[in-house]
Amino acid sequence: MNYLFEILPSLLEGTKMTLNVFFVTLLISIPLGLILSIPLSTNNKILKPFIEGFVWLMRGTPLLLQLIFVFYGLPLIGIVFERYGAAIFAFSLNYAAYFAEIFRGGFGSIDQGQVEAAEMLQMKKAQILRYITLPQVIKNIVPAMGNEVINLVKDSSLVYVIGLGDLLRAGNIALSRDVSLLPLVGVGIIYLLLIGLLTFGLKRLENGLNYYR
Amino acid sequence: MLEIKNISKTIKNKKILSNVSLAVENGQTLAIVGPSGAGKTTLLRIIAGLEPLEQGTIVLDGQDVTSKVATQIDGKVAVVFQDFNLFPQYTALENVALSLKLVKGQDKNMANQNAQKILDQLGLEGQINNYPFELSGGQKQRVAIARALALNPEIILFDERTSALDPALSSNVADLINSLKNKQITQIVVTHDMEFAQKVADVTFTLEAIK
Ligand SMILES: Nc1ncnc2c1ncn2[C@@H]1O[C@H](COP(=O)(O)OP(=O)(O)O)[C@@H](O)[C@H]1O
Ligand SMILES: [Mg+2]
Repeated sequence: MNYLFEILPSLLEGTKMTLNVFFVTLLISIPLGLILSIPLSTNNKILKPFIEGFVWLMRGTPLLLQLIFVFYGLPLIGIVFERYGAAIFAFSLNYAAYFAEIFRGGFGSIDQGQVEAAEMLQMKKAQILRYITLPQVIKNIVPAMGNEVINLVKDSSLVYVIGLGDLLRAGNIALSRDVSLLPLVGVGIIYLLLIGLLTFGLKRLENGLNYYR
Repeated sequence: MLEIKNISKTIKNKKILSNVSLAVENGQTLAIVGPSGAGKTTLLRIIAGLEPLEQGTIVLDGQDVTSKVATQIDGKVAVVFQDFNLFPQYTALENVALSLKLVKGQDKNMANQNAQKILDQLGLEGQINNYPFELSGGQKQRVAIARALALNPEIILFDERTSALDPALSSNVADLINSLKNKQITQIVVTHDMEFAQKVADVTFTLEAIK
């Protein structure tokens, strides 16, 4: 137990990086996914196939491959990222693809009558999105988004392969230095706590949106 | 006067409307009756500008408005949809106040006051803070009417529910439509209920299903 408290500071240091990758990825990928979902929901002849191809690529190949590709592969053709930038770049694009699909499904589930009613009330396109459709979309997609967001916490450990100092790396360093299993137990506990907290928050959000049907 | 001239409409290779013409004077109520599937809703949607028109013209007070969708005629036309299409995330009051805020630019207090006034007139003072899922069918319909009235339309298009409202409710709606006549609002009321049509209409137009 004392040992766990000894290594706690270094684990927390790693947790900071894990949370950093988590939040920055969300901050970029959610708006990006929303933007990408708009042409996906229409019959745009140029943008739609292009974005569909992007989504197919991002969801059809492992995130780990994408991460290695960005950090170790792209420099071979002269595009160099530092570790953190590579992680954010790969994660944001990958998660934007998943979020775009979720948003597209959300928009698809909106009754067209809602848009027509708003149009007849003279609302502008942006107002209809902001006040009518998007709130309904958000309510519909919170469960699916929640799953992805929880996955992201765990996926963030993949940054290990490009040598970013996240929670998993902090645990692994302590493991090989002290030849003890406990650091990994500590790492596991911290992941469980993070995901427990997140699950609780998502449940509250879901309940908060349940004030109407 | 609103004039509909020689309108035809085909959806998915099926002729829905063939050479339909009708007219209604300002402030009058026109009832369109016909069996289910005759194309009443389609006709109303065309007048509202929600459905593209392949043939025919729409003339409003002498002006050809065929190529304009209704949304471009400055909120002159309002629709009470068959399924009401109330916004589920907003209360009755907010449903009515929203366009006052967003379109008329009224501040929140002003918009709420005006919305409340309209809802009061329709006998909904007890329901203003209810969400649509908490309202009965008849209450939803009145909220939809209140929402349609908010922007002071000159024409209201009214798609009456096909599933019969109970007689008491139906006569309430008839009273409501008749009370709007005093406001000089032109109304087009679609219904399959002949008796209802006779109660509210100055003119009745019968739409036959195309065989
Ligand atoms: N979007 C559509 N796609 C296919 N058929 C449609 C569509 N809209 C209407 N119809 C058909 O047009 C006919 C008239 O429909 P509608 O205008 O709703 O009639 P009513 O309101 O008089 O019951 C029906 O046979 C209906 O199936
Ligand atoms: Mg109908």
